[in-house]
Amino acid sequence: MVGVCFAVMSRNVEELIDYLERLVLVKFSSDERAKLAQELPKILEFFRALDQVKELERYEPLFYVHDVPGRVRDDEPEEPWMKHEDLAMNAELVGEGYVKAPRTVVE
Amino acid sequence: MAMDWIRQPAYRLVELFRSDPSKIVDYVDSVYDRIQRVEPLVKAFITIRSREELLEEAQRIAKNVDSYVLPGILVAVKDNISTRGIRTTCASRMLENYVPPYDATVIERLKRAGALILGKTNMDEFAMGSTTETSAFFPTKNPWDLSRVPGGSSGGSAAALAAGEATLALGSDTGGSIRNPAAFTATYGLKPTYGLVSRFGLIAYASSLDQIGPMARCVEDLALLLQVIAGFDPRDATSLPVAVPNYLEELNRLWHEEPRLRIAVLRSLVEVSEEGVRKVFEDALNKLCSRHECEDVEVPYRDQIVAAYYIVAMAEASSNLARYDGVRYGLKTSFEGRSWIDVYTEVRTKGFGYEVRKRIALGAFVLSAGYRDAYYLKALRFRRLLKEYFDGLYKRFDIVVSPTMPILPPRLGELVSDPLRMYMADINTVIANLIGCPAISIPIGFYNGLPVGLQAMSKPLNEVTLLYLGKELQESLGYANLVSEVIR
Amino acid sequence: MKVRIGLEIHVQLTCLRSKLFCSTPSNYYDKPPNTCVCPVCLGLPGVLPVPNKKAIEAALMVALALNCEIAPKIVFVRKHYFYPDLPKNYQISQYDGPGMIPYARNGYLTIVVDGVKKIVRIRRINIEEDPGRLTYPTGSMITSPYSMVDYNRSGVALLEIVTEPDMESPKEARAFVEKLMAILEYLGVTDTSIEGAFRVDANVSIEGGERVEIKNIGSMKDVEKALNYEILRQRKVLESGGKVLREVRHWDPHKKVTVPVRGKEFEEDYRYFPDPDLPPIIVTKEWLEEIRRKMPELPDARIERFTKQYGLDEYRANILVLSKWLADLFEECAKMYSDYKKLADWLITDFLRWVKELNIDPKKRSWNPRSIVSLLQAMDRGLISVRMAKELMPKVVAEGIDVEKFIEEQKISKITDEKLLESIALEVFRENPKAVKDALKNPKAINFLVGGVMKKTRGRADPELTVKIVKRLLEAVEKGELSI
Repeated sequence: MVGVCFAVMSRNVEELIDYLERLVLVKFSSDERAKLAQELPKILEFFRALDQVKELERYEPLFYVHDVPGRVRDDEPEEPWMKHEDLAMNAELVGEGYVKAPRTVVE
Repeated sequence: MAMDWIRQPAYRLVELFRSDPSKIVDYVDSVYDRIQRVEPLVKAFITIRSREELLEEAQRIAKNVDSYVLPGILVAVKDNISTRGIRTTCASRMLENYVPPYDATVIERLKRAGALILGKTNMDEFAMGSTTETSAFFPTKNPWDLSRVPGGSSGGSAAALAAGEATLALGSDTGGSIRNPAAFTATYGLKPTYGLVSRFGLIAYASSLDQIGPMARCVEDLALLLQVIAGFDPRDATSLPVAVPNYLEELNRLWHEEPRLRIAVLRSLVEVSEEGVRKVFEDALNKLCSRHECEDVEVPYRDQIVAAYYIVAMAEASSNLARYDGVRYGLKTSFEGRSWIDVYTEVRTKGFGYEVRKRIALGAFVLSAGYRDAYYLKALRFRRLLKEYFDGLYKRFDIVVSPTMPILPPRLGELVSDPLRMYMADINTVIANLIGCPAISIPIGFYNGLPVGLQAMSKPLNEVTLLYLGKELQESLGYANLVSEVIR
Repeated sequence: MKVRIGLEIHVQLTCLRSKLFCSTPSNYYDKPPNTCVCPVCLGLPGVLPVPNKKAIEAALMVALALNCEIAPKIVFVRKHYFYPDLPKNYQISQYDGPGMIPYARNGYLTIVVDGVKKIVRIRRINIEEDPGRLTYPTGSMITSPYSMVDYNRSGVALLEIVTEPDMESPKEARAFVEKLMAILEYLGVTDTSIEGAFRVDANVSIEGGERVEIKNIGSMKDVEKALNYEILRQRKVLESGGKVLREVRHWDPHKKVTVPVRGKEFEEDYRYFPDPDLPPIIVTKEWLEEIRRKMPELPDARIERFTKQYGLDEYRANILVLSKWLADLFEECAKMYSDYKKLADWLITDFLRWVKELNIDPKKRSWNPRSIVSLLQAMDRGLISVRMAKELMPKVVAEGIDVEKFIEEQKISKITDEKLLESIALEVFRENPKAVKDALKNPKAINFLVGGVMKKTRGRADPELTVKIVKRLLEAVEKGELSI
């Protein structure tokens, strides 16, 4: 795992930023990088405040705020109302109505 | 005498329109005139529908006023709520030209109630901010002081109300995004219990924290709008299958019964607030304590609350915002001869502002294999600790109060430049999102001409008690139906 | 060198009428691209998923049939990776981790290969959504300047069934897939004849080598073919002193080879976490019991019943039962015909061979058990020969007609006229003097002469009578009573 090798507040903020850029497919400009390199360690350090909570391990992680069981719906199909025109409002269609997308080969 | 349409609360307008439906058109015209006058100064809206379109709809509704709950009432909608055929941008370049093919559940409900969707309001990009300054398009100004921010992220909705550009507004609240701008603009805002209002059609920031809520200039309107949007929705699996009370009736019942409430004051949150906020808050609190049982209580942690909130919010955001890649919708670029990695990176870099990219990156980090336990899971453990603590409080108290915001509305650029200070300003509001309970912000006064709000929280599905407290403060302090003159 | 094979099988729940998380119809198979879509399965901003109850029930049924431990809650998680077929750039799936659990684990399935029973363990089953389908304007991923996405498939309910590496030969792997498909068919959850209804990924390792993953195997036959190819390839590498490296390869069904998939430049971190839009679904005991009650008889139970009720051996029972339609047909026929073994043999040899030649999906048509039985009965009564029965079968079975009536109408019954047969046999003797000489020395060689009679009568000669006559004529030749 590439991420694991970063000791959290490590010297390697630049490497961490590189890693995160590839992970979520965004780039930071050089100005932004400079700013981020300042902010990132501070924010992550701030997050470590949770380490000070005593006996936090006693509490199970709360994934869902209400203890309400998940609901299901019946298997009743509804006629699809979306037409190619609706799709074409926001996407580029090619051929018989395919959505155009980039190549799936990495050079 | 010419009617003052701008300041009228919705509940009174509805009565008026029922007796004289033709007045709807006058009302729409007046509000539209007002928008044309003040909008260039306030910049509350990203998209405003045309006068002609609104008047046409108003006339159609006027023919049948009795079948609607909110006939002809102009509602400003935050631009992260999906509106069929009306551009919905999340104040992001990414969605600058995105036109949704479907309506959010709350929009369907508003339309069924006969309300008019006036336009889409400015916000922090993807709701990530507390000032409306991270909007990719322009910042919104606080109508009470144009050099200051209106709060955020629902800053456009709050500013539209305070400037008299709309009668009601919808906001969304992930960590205070309704209450913060309500407090900064002397308006009322309610974050409902998680699951009370359908999130279907709300463009997600952090799914386990997000709620759509009503914003208005008085408590009664808050109740009226909540009535329309609340209730079970089969399209949202987190929607609570509960019966919705009649909020206005219940509010009136309590108002007459005048029950004595047990109120907890989050003392440490009062103490760390700015002096002006503290002063105004203590005055309001004195009024409350003269009629109710008040007791100071402590909040067990401070930094940890904010840390847990931001970890959860960023983690979920990094996931929710993965879908923006420019293929099915969103910012366009050329695909020819380019790999998806290349194209997606370009689209997401150009489409998202710095704050959004930063939160996505941090969110991915706290979820990544090596760090999930140290950040994400710890935050969720803390979330349970906090919930258990407040569950305990709600056994002893009906209401928990604090200032809504620890600060007065900052000047533009003042807060956004220091991210940790900005994050810490959310401490009072994020609690309700972390534990899923309802919370209201009530205007309680001004300090040097700047609005101050009081936040009240209560146990889940106890919105009625919050409305009751709001009504009491509204009547005793008199901050109802305030509209700023908007002076340059 | 010991071979270890594990399988990862994706099966669509084709019994559903709508997708896993939205009400869009799931029968997208012959629809034009992007006509079976809605905001939810396109992942438009603001949409939310709501699980399909029947999908959960079908999944639970499969877990029960595969003897799995079932989790008390069904937890959906988000699996993140960017790819153009994935509308949200995360897939709603399941995972084992904090707050997460696959809905079914630790099951097993029994297979029979060459008469030997074997248990293959199931590691886990996930329920998840299918991505969209990618196509390319030039037909090739490599040469196309862009790709094209059809989201019709996006959001269709899938099960991901993962085995332990318990299989030791491609044959076993194929037997596993066949058995699994039979179970899914018996449960009525998947129509495996639908193109794309299942896809198999296999991982293979040979002692001394690393594990290789083969992706994109689309049919049962190809499971065996792809594995045979891959094992041969790995053996060659090892034998020539090379190393088999851990890698992902792609099965090319046209060229019938596995080719390496270009290594990802960046190791995946899927960042799994429970989907906050989907509170876990509680699996109550009552619900499970209700599902269990609704479950039909499964292949193993049916095989056992076939051995007991019809006295079939396990081999025959196995072949019949693994093709549900064939087993159903057998049982229909068995109501009218009591020589079960003969019936079974006829069905699994002559009948099945003919059906395969037809190149149709046997499940998609109805077979008239009465005509099959009438064919067997006509044989039993000596009205037709085995050969005639084979010749008649296409007409009789395909058109579902009664054999006896047909024979009556066509007057094509066996030739039992001794005089006629004798004269035909004499003709054969005269035409084949060498064969006659052979037959005199070697009794087995008379088959040629009998065959000659059959040929001349186009198979209509009564075989037993013909043998009798040929033998009699041969005796006559030997005794010198007859010269040719």
